[in-house]
Amino acid sequence: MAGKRSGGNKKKFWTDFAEAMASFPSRPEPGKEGDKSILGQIDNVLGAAWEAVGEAEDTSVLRSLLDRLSEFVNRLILDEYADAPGGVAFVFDTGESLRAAAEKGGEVELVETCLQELNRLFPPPEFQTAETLCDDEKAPPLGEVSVASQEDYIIYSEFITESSEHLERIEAGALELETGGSNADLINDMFRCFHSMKGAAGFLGLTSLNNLCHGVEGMLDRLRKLTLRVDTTVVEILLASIDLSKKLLASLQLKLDSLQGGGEAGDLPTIDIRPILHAVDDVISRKPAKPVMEEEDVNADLSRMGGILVAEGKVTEKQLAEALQAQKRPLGKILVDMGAVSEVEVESALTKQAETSQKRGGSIKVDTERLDALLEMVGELVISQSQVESDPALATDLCRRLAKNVANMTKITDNLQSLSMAMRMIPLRQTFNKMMRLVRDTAVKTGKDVRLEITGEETEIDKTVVEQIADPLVHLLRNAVDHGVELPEVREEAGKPRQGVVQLKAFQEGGNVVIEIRDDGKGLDRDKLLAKAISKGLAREGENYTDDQVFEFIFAPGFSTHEVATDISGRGVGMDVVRRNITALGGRTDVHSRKGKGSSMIIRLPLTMAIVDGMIVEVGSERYVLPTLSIVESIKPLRSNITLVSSGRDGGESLEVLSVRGDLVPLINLGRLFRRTGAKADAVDGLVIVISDEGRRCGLVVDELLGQQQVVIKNLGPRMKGLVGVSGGCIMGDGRVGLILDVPGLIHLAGEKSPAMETCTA
Amino acid sequence: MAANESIQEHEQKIKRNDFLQVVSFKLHKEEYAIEITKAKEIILLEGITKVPQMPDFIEGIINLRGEVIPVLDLRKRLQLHCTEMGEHTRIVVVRMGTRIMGLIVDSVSQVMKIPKSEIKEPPETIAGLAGDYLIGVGKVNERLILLLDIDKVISAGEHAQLTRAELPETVEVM
Repeated sequence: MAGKRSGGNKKKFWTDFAEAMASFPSRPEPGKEGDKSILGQIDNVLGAAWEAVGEAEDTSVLRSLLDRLSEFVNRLILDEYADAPGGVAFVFDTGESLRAAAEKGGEVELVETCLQELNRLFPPPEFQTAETLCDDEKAPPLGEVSVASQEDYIIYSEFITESSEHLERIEAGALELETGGSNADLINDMFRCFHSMKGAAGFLGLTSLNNLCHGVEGMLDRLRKLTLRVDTTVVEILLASIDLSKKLLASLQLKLDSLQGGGEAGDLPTIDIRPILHAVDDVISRKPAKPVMEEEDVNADLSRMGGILVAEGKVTEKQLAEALQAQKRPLGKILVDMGAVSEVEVESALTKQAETSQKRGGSIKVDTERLDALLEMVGELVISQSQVESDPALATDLCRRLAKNVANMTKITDNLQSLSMAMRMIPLRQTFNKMMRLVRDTAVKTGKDVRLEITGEETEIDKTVVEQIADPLVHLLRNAVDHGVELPEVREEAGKPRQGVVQLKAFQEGGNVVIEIRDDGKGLDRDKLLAKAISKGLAREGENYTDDQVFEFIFAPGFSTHEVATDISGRGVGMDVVRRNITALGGRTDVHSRKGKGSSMIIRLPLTMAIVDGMIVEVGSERYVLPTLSIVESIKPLRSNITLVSSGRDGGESLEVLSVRGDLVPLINLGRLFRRTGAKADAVDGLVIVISDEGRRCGLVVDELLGQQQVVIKNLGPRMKGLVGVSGGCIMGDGRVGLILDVPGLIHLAGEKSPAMETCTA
Repeated sequence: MAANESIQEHEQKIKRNDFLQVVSFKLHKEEYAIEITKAKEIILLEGITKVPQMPDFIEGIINLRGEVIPVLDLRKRLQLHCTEMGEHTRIVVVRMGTRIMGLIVDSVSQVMKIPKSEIKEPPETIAGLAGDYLIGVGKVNERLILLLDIDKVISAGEHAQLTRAELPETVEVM
């Protein structure tokens, strides 16, 4: 029918189809027809073809044939047909004739015949229910794992990694479905994830996981075909199946680890998947919802031609909706007929659609070690580049051309550097998506009604940071839901909407990534906090503290225990751990709160762990790097502001203290500490740089500030461990090694010298 | 003619016997050598960053193509007279297992093969402090070359450094 209506014009989808079918594997040698890997390939090709054909009225027959074929192949893989060889031969016959037909420009009649033939020879099974999937009385085993070689181990490990990624996508999708974001792409995506997991699990002999995926996939298929509506039960089933799959994968991992360690091969522990399959059956056997015309969400949905045209302002949403309603023919054609757009515009939108779909995917996995080696090399290149560039010989008239070429090369190396840095950067999306589930579960558990709003999940940050930020985020979000947001009734009384909002925001600010967790709950209780701080000896009674100073106390070790625990943190682990983790990543944490309005936690993280923003200071003939984040200000001190205090210890050195607008800041003379000759002995001749860490301050006496620079952090090696005042090394712009000053260490040192100053808070 | 003969003789000995290939360098007025398999490369002396709280003979650290390596002043380590650093001063980069370290020497002389038969135990007269660090004394064309046991020099140096590094309450290092 499609061929006829198009008036002999070769339909685009046939070309796409032919392209996808081109990789249809060739017939195996006789005797090897049962080879599962070839069937797996066929399934992949069919899947790709299904994608390529696209959704439209005139492809429906082809698509149902592909659906049926794919399902058939899957069953062949699982040995569900007794006469497998005949089935395999049929698959190859059909595949080859379809490919031939597609290359000639398509033949609908053939497709119809194939479908009829398939249904006649191998009738479609009834949808498999829990009973047919696992009819034994006892729960089926997860499957058998046999690791014959290192290669097998790698295959299993890769399967686990891939499946975990799929599960994350599915989880995000399920949560989006729950919030009402029902669109076909989302369900298709989840379907695909389950489908690939199912295939791989079947191939690896993981029967349980395969069956589970198969069951849930069936449910998703119905959602996709709109014979089933998304509701809470469906989402619950999806989430439960994700949890169960994770459990299955975890036990597989355990088994693998024990096999690696010389354990015995054999069956995996039994995990009962039947409850979920029964639940799926129940949902499916409900009265099917009346198929409804899909309401296309066209708002800026640029993956579809209609959306592109609307976004470009060439058709209105209303026109598009009408066209979609009447969509019996290709959408573009209808719009042209309506006089809304010209054919050229439709054509260009179609090209864009193709481009968008092509942009997806296309990534490769690279060993992080290799990536790090590359980064190191690039770092070296940049340094040696800058050495060439600063060579005095370049400045002479003779070398003008050379200088130009070098300048050109500098540009390229700079690009190369930022590009390679970008390779270690990954978006926060995955981490953030995991939080959706956490917030949902915590809210359910605590009886709160909470909506999590995520923005800026595309913000990229160093891979190491992403891996380590999850725990602090979990803690902070749990706090926000558990202790920030009030119960719905309480909120109503306070004149707030019943539903609390927790925002999780990420954005880039200068060289930092900022992550903010904000809730609209009751806020921190200043009085309670202060009372607690005084009882803990952290604050002095009768002293005036600003709000921020009081809120700082929640980060003090051991603060969030006992009775305050119920107000600030739910568990024994305190905010001090959160702060320590963030500090270890080179970041800092701040808290703001307004009573009754809510609190916000702000985490500032460096873009990358490999580079630090540093201020170069000179002491004697040496230069040191001070992390810019910890610098408060630099002061040219006046003699009258410096006081000498005794250390209060026998034989202890006396200590200089600088008065900064009323606050007393202990001074450390870096030249003296590092025994550098030629350094300025008197603070008045040099500069004082005030640094702070966790609210404590000290002043460093240096000769001069040389300017700001990004330096590449280097390990000094075990020989240089335990240096006082030095936290590590780095390579500076001129290729020399610089020493990075250890801010917490120096402040600690200043505090130690002057017990009286210990409590000198900022 | 006599010198020629001795060279031929020397070469024949190399052919006949096992030999030790070494790189020789000067420390003050004496000629020392280390096994060539220990030496990684020889670089110019520049861009040393001093590190506080390190023993005297640790001159500092340098950037060797992206790797930060410590540099040890061999003359100070062996308590020899320290000549001013000049245009012939070099850093011999040595490898010990996976670790790399630089050694400051007054000048690098040459790479040579010393027949094992020409290597004698260190004479008792120098068997004092420096004697501990010697594998032996090689004789090449009437020149005496002190063969250093570089592993001993460095590990003893590290030991000294560790005892030095036991400073009051050290602070956390990244």
